[in-house]
Amino acid sequence: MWNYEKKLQYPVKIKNPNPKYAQIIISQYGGPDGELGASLRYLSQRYTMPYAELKGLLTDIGTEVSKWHPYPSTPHKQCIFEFQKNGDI
Amino acid sequence: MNREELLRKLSSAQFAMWELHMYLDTHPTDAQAMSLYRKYEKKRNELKKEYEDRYGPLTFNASDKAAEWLENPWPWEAEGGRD
Repeated sequence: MWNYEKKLQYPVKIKNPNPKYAQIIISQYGGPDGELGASLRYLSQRYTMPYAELKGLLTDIGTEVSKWHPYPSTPHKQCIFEFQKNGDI
Repeated sequence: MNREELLRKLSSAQFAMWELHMYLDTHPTDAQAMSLYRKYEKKRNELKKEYEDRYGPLTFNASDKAAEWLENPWPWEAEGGRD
């Protein structure tokens, strides 16, 4: 179960959009060491965890990492918006 | 308090609640941590209500009007992200 709140945990503001940096950021989202994979690993590992405290902890850490998904995508969106505005893409 | 400050205060209370929540996973009988959790929960509820009264719903069910929930900006949009 997922409860969504329409806000970021911490504000994000891109001053200087940078296409190269945007590539790195998007890989932090869905790439090999990204938040998406990390959150799903925690949430999958809890199914075979025998200890109640650690079932709770894996659930909560998996949830915590899921909350970070907007962070790579928000600056990425802001970069795309800036590039579109400037006619770069 | 402006929108940004209010949002920051709300997020701070939620952050404190979340850290205590994870601590309580491995220390479930710590009564002091539990009462601290309740303290921040109360603060969160007050700040969430104040924010929603002024700036619109943070969750779908916080408003009777579905259209209000759909109003821009969303957090990944420029203005929403800057809040």
